[in-house]
Formats: sequence, C-alpha cells, structure tokens
Amino acid sequence: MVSLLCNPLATAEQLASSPSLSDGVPADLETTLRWAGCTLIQSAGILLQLPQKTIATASILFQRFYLLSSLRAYPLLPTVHGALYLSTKLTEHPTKPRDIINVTTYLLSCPSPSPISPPPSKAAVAAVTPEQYYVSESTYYTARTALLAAETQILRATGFQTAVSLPYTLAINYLQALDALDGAVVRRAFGYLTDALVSPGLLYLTHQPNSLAVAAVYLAAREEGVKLPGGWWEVFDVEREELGFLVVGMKGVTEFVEKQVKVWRREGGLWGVDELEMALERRRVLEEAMEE
Amino acid sequence: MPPYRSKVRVLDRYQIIGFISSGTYGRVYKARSKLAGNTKEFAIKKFKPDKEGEIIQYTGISQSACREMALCSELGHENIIHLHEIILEDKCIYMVFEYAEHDLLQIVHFHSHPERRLIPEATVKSILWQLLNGVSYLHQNWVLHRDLKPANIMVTAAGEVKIGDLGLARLFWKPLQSLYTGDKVVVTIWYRAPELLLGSKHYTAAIDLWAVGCIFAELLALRPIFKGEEAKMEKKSTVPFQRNQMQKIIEILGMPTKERWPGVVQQPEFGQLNGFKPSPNVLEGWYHQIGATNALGFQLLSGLLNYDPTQRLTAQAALEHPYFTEGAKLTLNAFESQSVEYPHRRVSQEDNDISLPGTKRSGLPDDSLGGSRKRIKEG
Ligand SMILES: Nc1ncnc2c1ncn2[C@@H]1O[C@H](COP(=O)(O)OP(=O)(O)OP(=O)(O)O)[C@@H](O)[C@H]1O
Ligand SMILES: [Mg+2]
Repeated sequence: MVSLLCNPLATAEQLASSPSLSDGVPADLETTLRWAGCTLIQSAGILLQLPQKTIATASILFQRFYLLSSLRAYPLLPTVHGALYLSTKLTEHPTKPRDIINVTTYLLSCPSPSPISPPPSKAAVAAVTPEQYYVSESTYYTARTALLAAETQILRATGFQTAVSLPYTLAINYLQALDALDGAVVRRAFGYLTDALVSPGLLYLTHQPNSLAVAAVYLAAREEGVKLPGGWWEVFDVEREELGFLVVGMKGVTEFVEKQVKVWRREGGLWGVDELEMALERRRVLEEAMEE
Repeated sequence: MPPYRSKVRVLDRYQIIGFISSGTYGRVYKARSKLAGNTKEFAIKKFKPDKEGEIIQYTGISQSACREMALCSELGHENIIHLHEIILEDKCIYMVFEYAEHDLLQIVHFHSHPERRLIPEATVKSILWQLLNGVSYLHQNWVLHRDLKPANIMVTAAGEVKIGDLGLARLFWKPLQSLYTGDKVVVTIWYRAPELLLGSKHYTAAIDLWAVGCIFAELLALRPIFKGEEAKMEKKSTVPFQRNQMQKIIEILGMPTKERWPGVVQQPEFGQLNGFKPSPNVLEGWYHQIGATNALGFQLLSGLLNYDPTQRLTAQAALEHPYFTEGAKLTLNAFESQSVEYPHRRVSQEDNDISLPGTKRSGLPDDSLGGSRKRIKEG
C-alpha cells in the first residue's frame, strides 16, 4: 500500500504501559481523560466550522501524544488546543489561537448539546453569565502561551509524524467499488468512523484506515439493510478476525460514552494540572479509607 | 509510533559550513554532521516564524513548515529530496535535508553565458526523465507540488535530480481545494498554467505538468520560455489577471481556442482573452530557433504545453514517451557524458549564524521577493 494511506501505529508495549500509567494515573482515569479531550476537540471543531478531516486529525494527534507523554506532565486542555491548532494548519484550515480558546472556554462554561458541556438544565442556563465565557486578555495570553508550547510538545513527542490518513474517503471509495453508494449508508458509516475517534480501544492508533473504513461500511450496510457480496472485506485487505474486533469496538462506543459522561460530571472537569492532582489525591484518600 | 525523542539543539548536532540562501519561508544553511565518521553534507532549512499582523511574534510553526514536514517525512523516492531529520528548538524549527550541490537555475545560468554551449541532450534527457519520475511519484501519492521551478529542482554531484521545496505542496484528496484558501501563495508566474491564469481556482496534477513543460523548454533554450511580468495585487481581495504572462504564452502557443481547449469557455476569466490579437501556434518555429532538433523532443514538449489540462500529458504518460527510448541512451546520472564541471553552490561565510533570529538581515540584499530571479553568483 502507498505510504500516505497508512498511519504509524502504537506498538504493543506502548499500549501496555502508557506514560500516564507509569506516572501514577490509573488506567480508567486515563481513559476518561482521553475521552474528554477528544470530545472537546470534536465539539470545538464543530463550533469552529472545521471539516471533519481537521477534527479527526486533531483527535489522532492528541491520542498519539498521550501514547508518548504523561497527562500529569502535560495537562489536557493545552494539548486539546495545541492539537487543534496544529491540525488546522496541516489540513489547510488555519484557525487563530484566539478562536480556538474562545470556543473551548464557551463549551466548558455554558450548557450545550455537547456531552462535555454542563448539562442543559433550565437552572444551568439561567446561571450562565457572559463573564463565565468571556476570555480576558490575561487569561487569553496564558492560554495562548500554553497552546503554543503544547504544539511544540506534540511535534517533538510524536517525532514529527504529523501526517494522518483518514478512512472517510476510503469508505466512500469502497461503497462505490461495491456498487452500494447510498446516502444513508454513507452517513451511518461516517458516524461510526467519528465515534471510533473517542473509542477506548484507541482504534485509530491500532488499525489502518482501510480496516476502519471496512468495519464502518460493514456496520452501516448491515443496519441499513444493504446486502454486500460475501467476504467483500478481503478485497480491501481486511481479515475476518480484525473486522470482527473493530465491529465490536465501534458498536461499543455509544455505551462507553454514556458511562464517561457520568464519570466526567462526577469528577468535575480535570483540564489542568491542579485539577488532575486533586483528583488523584481524592482517589488516594478513598483507597486508604477503603483499606482501613 | 517511534519512542519519544529527547530535545536536541541544532548546533549540538551540526557544524554550519555557511549560508546558502534565503527564500520565502526561511533561510537555508550548508552543514556537516558533528557525529564522528559521518562525512555527509546537509542543507538545513530554518523556518521563519509566521507573522500575526505587522508585529513579529511567535505564533507557532508556520503553515508552510507544517506542510513540508508532514509530506517530506512520509515521502521517500530517489528523485525527491530526502529529509534527514527535524529539529525543534524553542520557537524555531529546522529541517535537515540531504545536500544537493546544484540546482536547475544554477545549471541553466551556467550555460547561458555567451561563450558556453547548450546543455548536452543526454543531460537534458536525464534531468527531464528524473524530474518526471519524481513528479509521477508525488502524483501517485496524491501530492501536488504546486511550485515547480528551476530553483526548486536540485541535482546532486552524482547527477541525481532531487525535487525540493515541498512548502506549497498539498495532498489532493479533496480536489476542490481552492488555491487562495489559507495563506497567500507566492509562486513565480512564469511556470503557471494557463487555466490558473484564466482564474481556475483548483489545482490539478496537470498544473505541475505545465511547469515541467516550461522547465524542459528552459533547459533547451537557457531562458524561461514564458517570461512574463507579474501584475501586482492592487487590492487585497482581488487577484489581478496576469495579462502579460498570458500574452507571452499566446505569442508562442497561439490563441487558446475552443477547438484546442473545449473547456476554455468555462474559465472564469475567459472574457479576458478578447483583449488579445488572434495569433498562430509557433512553438515548432520557436523550438528550431533555439537550436533544438530532436523531433520527439518537440512532440513531448507540445504534449506538456497542451492548453487543455485534460489532454496534457500526465507524468506517467510523459515517462513513456519515445523521446526517452529513442536516440541517445537514457542515463540516471545527468552528468555522465558531461565534460564540463559545474561550479559548486556558493556558500557565504558572512551570515552563517544559524541561531540569530534572521527575519531581516544586513549585508546581502533582500532576495526574498524575486521568485526565481534571485540569487546565483557563480563561485
Ligand atoms: N537540500 C538542499 N541542498 C542544497 N541547497 C538547497 C537544498 N534545499 C534548498 N537549497 C537551496 O536553498 C534555496 C531555498 O530553499 P527552498 O526552496 O526549500 O526554500 P523556500 O523558502 O521555499 O524558497 P523559495 O521561496 O525561494 O522557493 C533553494 O532554491 C536552494 O538554492
Ligand atoms: Mg524554493
């Protein structure tokens, strides 16, 4: 396959022992933090009217970064900002740091349809004041400095592997090749591909785009009642076993997200160093109490 | 994913031999590795920071650096300049490339001295083939170069062609990517395809092939075939029609008529063509007048300079053209049959402190605006 259709993947060791885990962040908390980061990227991307390719690239850069760096050393929010900023440049949609920072501030302080925002209850809506999402010059300056530093960190940590190939176009090509190009199937397949960006199994770091595209097409066609020829996935270099694995992974995202939303609301937003340290401390205290 | 790499500084790893050139996006230095036993030479490109408004402040990695970085680290081909490594210091990004002793601008310039001769046919053939081979590789990988011109096409001392400067290159997954989105584009107009001059907003692979055609002509004629004068942008928002450049093309290729290019009527600036006197295609006359005789070479040139982008030769088709198989044998060392030795790349000692911020420098004239008219003093 042509190099530009492949992504660098995580090695088994990298998946088994993440830098955050070695640094004392429990695995389940890391999963939640990664979910929160990718969800914020996705929601901010939509508000910034960025194309899905830009958003997906940012998510993948973000995931690659935490494969190689600890969440304690590099807090979540600046990494979200840095990944978005870098991906807008890589995908020809340059966006100002100011816009990125404004949008995430808004999403994190006002109720919105995004699962990362405060829940949209009447009381919550009434409680929002413009001051909450107004980014003052000094806050902005600090956030911007952190964003630029995060961009550098992402580049350095990932060894400048900024090229990201995505499965979206492939999914269309495959449907075309199978003579099954249908609007509803495409929408559903794209939905699965976007869901997979936040999957706890880090599907984009463990599978090549062709496999992701095949799995999404498989699920979408099945659910839309479109019949495809038997064993079609082999034509696109995907084996049954991998397909099965991805199908389970993609199907599981909805349930995973529902659970994460609850966990996240309970934890209360761990975007910075201090918040994360406090959460870790809370857990330590709880654990000690349990032992006694 | 590769394991985390620790922070290094460019001067820890490389010894700067001298300053080569200053381009639109940065400054290029010649360097040697400090590793014992590594005698290879390198070209280090230091990117200028992007400007936010008039104030120069660090706003992150420039978009051009981002592109070049993302593409070069993925691409690997004998006719594309090899990216050795990237070094990121605080607020500064360096890309370390293999060093190429020559480039086509310099080679053409060397031959264009009155007492010198045309570039030998075997050399032209080899250069053109290797250039097409590199372009074909890019296109197969869905990359458009978008800035092919003699200064960006390098040749190593061993006569291997290396396409460089992928700072404007883009993936063309999304074929409807407009030329004017994102950053401003500063491409020399001499190599710009007629469909772009006529307002087409979309880059296609055919545009790179037009540029290859212009470069082929320049290797034969030792001067740019369509040396137009650039119309400057008056208002920020409107892109001016490059009348003079279009004029130069029409003088040689004749009018782009509906018969020769059915799609011409759909070009946004089609109406502008009313302002030109109808004239015939005199490319063949031009070809003989510059002293070229190879009939297959003429055929290939007209195939590359076809007005109609859909009929223009693709890189793959051009590589299969009989020009390369008939007559003098094709070699992969462009200098194989050459007796002349080209001067080495000029390296300046005056301005070789890579660690200086260097957006404005003293001493050398500012050559960052001149497109391909810049640089080159024989050393
Ligand atoms: N690998 C290399 N070996 C030797 N010289 C090089 C190399 N890369 C670049 N150069 C020299 O530096 C010049 C500028 O490099 P490059 O084209 O990559 O930068 P740029 O900023 O995009 O410049 P421009 O705007 O002139 O195209 C080249 O024209 C060439 O003379
Ligand atoms: Mg250049």
